[in-house]
Amino acid sequence: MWHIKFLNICRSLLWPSRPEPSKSRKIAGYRLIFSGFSMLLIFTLIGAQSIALALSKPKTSNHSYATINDKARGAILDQKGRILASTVPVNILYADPKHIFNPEEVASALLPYVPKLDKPTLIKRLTKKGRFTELDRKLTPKRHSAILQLGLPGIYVKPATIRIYPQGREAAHIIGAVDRDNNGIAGIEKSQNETLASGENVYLSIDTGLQTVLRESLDTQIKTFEALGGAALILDVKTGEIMAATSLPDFDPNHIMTSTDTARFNQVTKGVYEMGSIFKVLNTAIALETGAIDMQATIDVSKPIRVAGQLIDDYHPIKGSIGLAEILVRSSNIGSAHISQLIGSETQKNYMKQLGLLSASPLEIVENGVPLVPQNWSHITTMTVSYGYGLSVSMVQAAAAIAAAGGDGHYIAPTLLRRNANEPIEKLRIFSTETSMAVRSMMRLVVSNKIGTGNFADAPGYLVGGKTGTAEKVENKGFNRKANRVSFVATFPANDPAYLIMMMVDEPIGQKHSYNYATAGWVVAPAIKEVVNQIAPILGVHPVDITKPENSQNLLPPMMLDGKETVYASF
Amino acid sequence: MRFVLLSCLIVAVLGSGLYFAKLTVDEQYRTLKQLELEIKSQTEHNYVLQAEWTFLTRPERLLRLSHSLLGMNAITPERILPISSIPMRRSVTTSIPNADAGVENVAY
Repeated sequence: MWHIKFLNICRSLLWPSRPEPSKSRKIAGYRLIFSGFSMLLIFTLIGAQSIALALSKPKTSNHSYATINDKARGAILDQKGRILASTVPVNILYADPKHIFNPEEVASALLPYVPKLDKPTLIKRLTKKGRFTELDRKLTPKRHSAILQLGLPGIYVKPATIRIYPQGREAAHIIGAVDRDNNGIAGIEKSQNETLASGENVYLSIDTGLQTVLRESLDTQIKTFEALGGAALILDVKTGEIMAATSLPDFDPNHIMTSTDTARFNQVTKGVYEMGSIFKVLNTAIALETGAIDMQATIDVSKPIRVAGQLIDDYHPIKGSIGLAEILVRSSNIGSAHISQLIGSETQKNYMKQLGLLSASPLEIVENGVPLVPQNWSHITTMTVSYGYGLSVSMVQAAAAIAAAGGDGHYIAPTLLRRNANEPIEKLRIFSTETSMAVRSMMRLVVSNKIGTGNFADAPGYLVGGKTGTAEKVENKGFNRKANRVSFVATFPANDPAYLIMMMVDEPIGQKHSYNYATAGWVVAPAIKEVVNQIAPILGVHPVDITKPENSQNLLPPMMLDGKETVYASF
Repeated sequence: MRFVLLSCLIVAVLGSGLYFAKLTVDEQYRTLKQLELEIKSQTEHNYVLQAEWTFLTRPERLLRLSHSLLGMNAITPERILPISSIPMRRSVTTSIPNADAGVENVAY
């Protein structure tokens, strides 16, 4: 039988009988084959196992002291790369109520290390249903260490990230904020959420240095004139970049939940207002561009205009006829209304449309105001729009439009994102070089000429040009003569405008030092001067030597105003 | 028989070699992971330090400190002059008339 034979072979292998000399060679052969196959089997197994191990995926280490995900939310930086918003790691202190047996005792031990909670609240949280209750979101390393020393069961710490805004209130309305899950809920944080969430940084056109100067100056004027608030912006006339934008009152985005609705409202981009007399700059530019009037023509502004039950008059009545420049310099409503009639409703509306004042601007922010455009653009609308009533636009829109008229005639859509060095800028020519030169000369006279309304804005050497605007606030379907919104728009240097500053103060109250006046000339113009004096050296704008032909040729030749020859320079 | 022994030997050598190679790869992989974690950790520290630095050097704070501690104010335009207005050093042999009056001659 074969199995008996096999057993015999095995027995002979394990306990070999003394082989017969004739069989010994055969047995040795079997032994060798057996050993060989055994070895082959063993090494094959080892080899196979080695290959299997080599091909298997390595076990990841449980130990990790990195907490920010590979794609941490990108930072928001200003034009010069300064951080406006960033993500940093924090430790969250939390409790698992199921693991806490004596909440009273745990609360007593933990209380000194959670300053934001009182004992009843802490006990309430520790006895809450569920497996997770947050106790502190910003645990400092010192408190973290102390809590670990307590060794309390059920009290844990987990790493997380938090969004921080190191510049605090600066440009808070532009930057916006995020919710607890780091999703943008306002400002650039919301509009650029996708980019930021993918880990990419976003560079803004804002310059924090200019932003600080602008905010400080505006804040001072609001406090001095006991105003409700205000807003201001700085625009790069040649690129359309908004270099600073501030709206007061503002908020600290690090604690957005504690701010009021009023503080969170962005008056620069979201609020739409009747801009008042600063619109006269546009009216003048349109009149010159269309040929409705020339620099030599004069208009009688001695009689107020009564139309459709409304009275159009001047703040300071003027006798007789005055020219285009004087209408702007003296800020005559009557003169502007007459000019608008020469322009015509349709033409005025077309220009307003081209200047981006009839629809929302393509600004990269969710808080973007939509203009309030009159449904019927009647001839009375044309008259009121000429001096800034009847059409409500955002400050950014007004600034971009005036930058076109008082700059080099091109309209550039404003942007909050930094432009790259060689990025082509889309420019739309609205006004000719001659028109814009006349407009900026007249804007300069508003500030430099003694009869102008903006003398206090004259920062010596920087040739500030500007226009004041004092608009009555709408109240109960009418205007409140005592509640004004005063504003000032300035460009500098007037011979080649590079920057535009616009500032608005809401309901200022006249003070003793302003002889109880609360007009733009008294309230805003001094702040403009302060801002120009501080930012011009930062921006590399040199004081202008107007005696040099290359500077003087960019302005109109001196003309007669109020019987005297105009003076552009003041230094 | 020789073939069997040789096969065994080759398998043993290859197996051992593979095993050591795997150990080396594992070790290097662990080092790599460690380095990645360290880079991540340092990057995090960097984020915190950058944020701290930004907080401490924010223009609003510098403006306040430079004003209160150093009495610094904005540069007035009178102190910004074109390069041509800077008087040149007098030559040893020749003197430049009105060289010091350069500053006064600038008109705006």
